[in-house]
Amino acid sequence: MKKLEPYLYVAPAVVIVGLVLVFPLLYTFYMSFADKLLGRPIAGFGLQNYLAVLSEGRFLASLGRSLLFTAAAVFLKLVIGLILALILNSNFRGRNLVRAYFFLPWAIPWFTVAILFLWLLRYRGGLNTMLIEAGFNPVFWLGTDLALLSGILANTWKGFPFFMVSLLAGLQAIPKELYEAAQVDGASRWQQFRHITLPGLRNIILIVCTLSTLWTFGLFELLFVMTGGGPGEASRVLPILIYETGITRFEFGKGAAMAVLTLPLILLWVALLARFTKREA
Amino acid sequence: MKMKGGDIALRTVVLLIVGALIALPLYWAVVVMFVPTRDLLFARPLYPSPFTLENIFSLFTGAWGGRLEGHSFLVPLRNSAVVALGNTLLSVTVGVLAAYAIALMQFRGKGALSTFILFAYVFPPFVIMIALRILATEWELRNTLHGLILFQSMITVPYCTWFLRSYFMSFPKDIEEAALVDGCTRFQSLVRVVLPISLPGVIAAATFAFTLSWQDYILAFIILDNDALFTVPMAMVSMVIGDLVNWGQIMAAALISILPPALVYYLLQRYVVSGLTGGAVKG
Repeated sequence: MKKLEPYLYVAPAVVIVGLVLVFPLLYTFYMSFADKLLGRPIAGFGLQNYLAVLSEGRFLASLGRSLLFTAAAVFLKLVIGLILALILNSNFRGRNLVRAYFFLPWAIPWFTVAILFLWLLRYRGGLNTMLIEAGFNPVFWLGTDLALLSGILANTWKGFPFFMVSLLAGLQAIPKELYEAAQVDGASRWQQFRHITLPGLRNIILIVCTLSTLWTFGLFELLFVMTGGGPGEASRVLPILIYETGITRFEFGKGAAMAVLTLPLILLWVALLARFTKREA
Repeated sequence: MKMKGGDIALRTVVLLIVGALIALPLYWAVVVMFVPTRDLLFARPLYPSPFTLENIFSLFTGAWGGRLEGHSFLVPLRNSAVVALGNTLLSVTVGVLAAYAIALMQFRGKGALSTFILFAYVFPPFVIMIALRILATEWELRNTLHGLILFQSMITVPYCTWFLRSYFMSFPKDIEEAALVDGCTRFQSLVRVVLPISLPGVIAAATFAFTLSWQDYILAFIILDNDALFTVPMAMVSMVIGDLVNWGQIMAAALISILPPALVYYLLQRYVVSGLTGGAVKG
């Protein structure tokens, strides 16, 4: 009995996550091999969904778009977050106020961010109004050329504060003596940054980047609300493509095959995250 | 680090630019919220003139276009509150039990379970959205709030477990051992010793779970298509996709939707960093 006790404590969590995550995941595998149309029984099992998905090219294009979206957004968030963390790590008047204000976007839900940017960036929206007032021509921010970039900027807007506060926590954990010793040795500021700050932040940078990569890659509602994946294919990232394939067009098998093909990438990132997290703890 | 005059100027410029960029979408939301709809059709005022509170009032009297015509915005607010509270209660209870075992008990498979919880915490729901839609129908959970509560626990249960795990791991072992020596069962020790001392962490987990549920769009989108059951994100997005978009009302709704999570994050600032990285980065 004593030996079984811990399992009783973890059982509810395991059962719930099993029911709403693991079972649906297995079901996704199962469906990805099934030859099924809406309202008909399963006609057979095979690789036809995978062959269809890979031969159409739409999936790979969308996967590439998602990777570009994720890489660009994570990179921007890291750079902006790091610069602001460095600034906030120095003492100046009103620092706490600045930090609280800069944190604000993170506290805003994704669907709200999507709606705020939809107004800001639509052709007859806020940004173009300001451009016209200032004597410039309006820009199709959500048009074919710029839609994905607009999504990246909206994503960065909400996401950078997480990098900022995490990196700031990391900076504050670096012993001050290291910098004092370096100054005594005549190290330049760049050398101090290169040889003390960056190594000190290394693990935290790896953790927040992998976390943010998973969140950004899996983000559905931002582009779904801002552009619906369009115009054309311009901003059709993977979550939107899978939604349209499997739910709007009822091509369950093909949608499931796309999801399964994406899974190795996600597992790789989770494995990296687990490694970095273990090292820190 | 010592700052030179040029550095301070550069720092000020960077802070001003970023500060303005943060304000830009929010500023427009406030402007649009206070401008009468008819004045938005042709002109684009840079500041709220003419000024009206009509957009906010009409949001609550239900005079708005699209699928939610006739419903007050109180309806989605109430649905979101019910779901978020129900989900928080469920995920904190389940999370406390699991995190306690993982952090303070010895059992086989503990390491694997930890990794599994981390995996579940960061797992993107879009991968299984098709399966969830089909299963929701088969399990008769479509258009039910309890179905949404259950589905959202795929996010909040791993989250609470992961967050509380790192919180309980720093719990002083000898206090618990003393309780066990005095004849407490493990469960009594959890309820009477560990929980009271860990209360701040449990409250933090609960409030973060509340905001995670409040912010959920994708699972609500899978489960709900009955207007009367719409949560706040569903209601807001349905207003945008309708034919005649009343931007003033949407912006009023958007600014209201920010309040609960913003309040939570500001109250719990010191937990935010460790809360999000699961204790891997101390705040």
